[in-house]
Amino acid sequence: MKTSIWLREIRRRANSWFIITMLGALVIIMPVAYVILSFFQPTGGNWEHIKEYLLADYIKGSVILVGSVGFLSTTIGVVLAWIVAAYEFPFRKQFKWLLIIPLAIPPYIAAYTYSTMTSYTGIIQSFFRNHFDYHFTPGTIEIMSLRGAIFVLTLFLYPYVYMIALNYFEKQSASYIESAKTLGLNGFQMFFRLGLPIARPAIIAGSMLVIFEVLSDYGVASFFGVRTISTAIFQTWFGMYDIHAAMRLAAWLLVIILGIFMLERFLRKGRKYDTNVTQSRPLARKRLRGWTAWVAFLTCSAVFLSAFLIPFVQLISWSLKTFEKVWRSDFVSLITNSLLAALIGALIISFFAILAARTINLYPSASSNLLARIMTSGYAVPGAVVAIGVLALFITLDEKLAFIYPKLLGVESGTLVLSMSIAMLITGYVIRFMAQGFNAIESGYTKVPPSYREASFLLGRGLTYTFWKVEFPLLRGSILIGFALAFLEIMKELPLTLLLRPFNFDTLATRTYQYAIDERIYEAAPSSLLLICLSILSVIIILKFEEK
Amino acid sequence: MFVNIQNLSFRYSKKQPPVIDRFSFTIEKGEIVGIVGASGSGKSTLLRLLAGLEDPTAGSIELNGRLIVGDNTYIEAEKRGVGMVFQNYALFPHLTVSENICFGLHKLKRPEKKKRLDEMLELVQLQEFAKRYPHELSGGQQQRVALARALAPSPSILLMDEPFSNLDTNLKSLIRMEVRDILQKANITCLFVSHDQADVDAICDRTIYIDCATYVGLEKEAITV
Repeated sequence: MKTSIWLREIRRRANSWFIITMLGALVIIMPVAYVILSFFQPTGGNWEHIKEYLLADYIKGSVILVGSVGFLSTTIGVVLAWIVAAYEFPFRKQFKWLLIIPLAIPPYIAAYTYSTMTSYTGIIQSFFRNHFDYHFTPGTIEIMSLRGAIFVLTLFLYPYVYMIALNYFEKQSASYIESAKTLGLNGFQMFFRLGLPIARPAIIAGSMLVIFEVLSDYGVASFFGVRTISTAIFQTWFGMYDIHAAMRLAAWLLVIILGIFMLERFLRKGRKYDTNVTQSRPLARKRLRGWTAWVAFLTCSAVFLSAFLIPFVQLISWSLKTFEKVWRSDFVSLITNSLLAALIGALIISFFAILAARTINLYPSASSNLLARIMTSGYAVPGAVVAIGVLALFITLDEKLAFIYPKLLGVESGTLVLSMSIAMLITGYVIRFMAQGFNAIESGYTKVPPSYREASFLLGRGLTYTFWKVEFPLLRGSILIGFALAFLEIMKELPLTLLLRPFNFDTLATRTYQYAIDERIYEAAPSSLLLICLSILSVIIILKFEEK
Repeated sequence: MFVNIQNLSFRYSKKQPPVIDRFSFTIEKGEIVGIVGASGSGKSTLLRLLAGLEDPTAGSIELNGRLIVGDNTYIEAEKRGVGMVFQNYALFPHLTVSENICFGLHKLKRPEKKKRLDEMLELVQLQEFAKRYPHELSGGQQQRVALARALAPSPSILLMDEPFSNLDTNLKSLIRMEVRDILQKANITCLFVSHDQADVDAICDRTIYIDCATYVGLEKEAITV
C-alpha cells in the first residue's frame, strides 16, 4: 500500500471514539505493565528474605491449591453436566439451574460458614453430641487449613466448569452421541470414550476460569491460613510495608498465569472439534429408571445441598440472631459505600466497554483483536496484582504531581492525594471487571447487523448520531446486562477493596471479612446474606444472558 | 461522465488475492446500470467502495465531477450523497416507516421534511403504512420502504445490492416492475447489482459482466422489457 493511502487511513480512523478507546486500553494495561517492569527494578532486603525463605512455600501453596481445586471442581462439574445433559431423571430441569446457584456464594463467606458449622461448637457436632451422644474424634470433620480451602473452593467454583460443559454437551454433541449409540456404546463408555474427549476444549475453558479464581482468591486462603502468592502479596504489603517486594511477588504471579495460558494453548492445540459441528441440535436424553434414576437424583441433591442450601440456611439462622445488633447506622453507610463504588465503577466500565466494542466492530482487524484481548485481560489477572499495579502507578503519579498540589488544592507539600482517594479503588475495579461489561456489549454488537450503521452513514449521519439513534436503542439490553454484571462483581469483590480502599472506607464485603477474621461469625451473617442475594441476582442475569 | 472509476483495487486482507484489481468503468448521468457476476466476483464490494463503506487499496473514484477517493482524498460515506438499498434492506427495527424515511432528512426544515415524506410515501404507495414498524410489513413492502428511505435525501446516485434476493419468485416479477417505475419517476442514476440476469434485464439500460472484477467484461445494450 502506498504511504499516502496509509496516511489517509490513519487520518480517517483517528476520530474521537478511537482516541478515547485507546486511552481506556492504556489505563487498563498500564498497571499490569508496571508490575511486569518491577522485574527490572532493584528490590530491598525484604525481597531477598522472601526469596530465600518464603517464595518456595508460597508457590507450593498456590500450586497445590490450583492443582487440587482445578482437578476436583473439573471432575464434579463435568460429571454433573453429563448427568444433566445426557439423562432424564426426576427434577432434572430444576437441577439444571440449581446446580449453578452455588456460584452466588462468595467462597470467603462459605469458608467461615463451613468452618464454624463443622467446629466443636458448630451445628453438626452439637447435633450428634446432643441427640446421639456421639463425639467426633477431633480433626475428623473440621474444615480447616489446606484441606478446608480445597473443599470450599471446589464446592463453590465447580459451577464454572459445569456451565460450560453443560452448554457444550447439550448443544454440540448430539450428532456424535447419536452415532455412538448406533455403534453400541453403553452409558459409561459413552462418557469416557466420547463425552470427555470431545468436550475437552470446553472442559479446559471451564477449568481455566476456576484456576484464575483460585489464583485470585485471598479470602479463603487467608482464612484457612494457606500460604499462596496472593496472600503473600497482602502480607508483604501490610506486614512489611514493602511495595517493591509485593510488586515482585505480583510479577511472579503473572508469570505463573502466563505459563497457565501457554499450557492451555498447548492442551487445546488441534482439539477444536466443536468448530466442525455446524448444526446445533439438542441432545435427546435417555430416561433413567429404578436405582440409576435415584443415583442421578441423589448425586445432584448432595452437591446442591452442600454447595448452597445448607450454608444458606445456616446463614439465615445466624442472621436472625444478630440482625438487630448489626443493623445500625453504620450498616447503612456500608450499603451506601458498596452501592456508590459499584455504581461509579460500573458506569465507567460501561462507558469504555461501549467505546471499545464499537471501535472493534467498526474497524475489525488484528489490532482490534489485540484491543479486545487487552480489554478483557483483567479477568485473568488476580485482584491483588491489579491492586499492586494500580497503587504503584498512583503513588508515582502523586510523586510527579506533588509540586502542583499545594497550589491547586491548598494541601501541604508531600501530601498523597490520588493514592489516598477513592479514584484508586475505582480504577482497580474498572481494570479487573472490564471484561464483564465488554463481553456483554460485544456480544450484543454481533446481533446488530453492520448494515444498520452503514445505512445511517449513507443517509448522511455521523458516528455519534448513528450510535445514539441506531445502535444504542438496539444495544440497550446488552449494555444493561454488562452494567449489572460489573456492578454485582464490584459489590462482592474482596481483595481489591481491601488493598485499595481509602482509610475508613468499608464495604459490605470488607466488613463481612473483618467480622469473620475477628471470629464474630454470627455478626458476619446479615451482610453475607445480602451479598449472596445480590449474587443470586447476578447469576440470574448470567443465565438470561446465556439464553439470549 | 457522472461516475468515473479508474484503476480501482481492493483486498480484504494482505494474505488474500485482490477482490477487485485495477478496475475501471464509467456511468453517464441518468443511466441505470446493472452489474452481473457470480458470488464472490466482487460486485457487492464495488458498490461498497463507491458508497464509502470500504477503503480501496488503490485507484480513484469521481462522482458528479467531484473526486471522492484518491491517493490523498477520502470523502466519508456520510458526505458522499450516495443512496443505497441493502440486500437485507437494513430498515431500523425500532423506527416506524415514516421515521425510517425521515432519518436522512436532517438538513430539511420541518415543513419541507413532511412534504418530502409524503412524496416518498406516495412514490412507493405506502401512505397507509407510515406508522407501521418494519416487522409489520411484507418483504415487498419493506423493500419499497428501503427504496423510499434511500431516495428521500435526493442522492446523486442510487446503489442497489441484490435487492430482490430476499423475495420469493412470484413476488419478484411484480416488484421488478414497481422498482423500474419508481426509478424512472425518480429520474436517478442507479447502479444495480444482481446475480440474476432477469433482474438486470428488467430494470437496467446497460449491463456489465464482471468476473473477479479484474476487467470490464462484455457490455451489451439494454434489453427493453
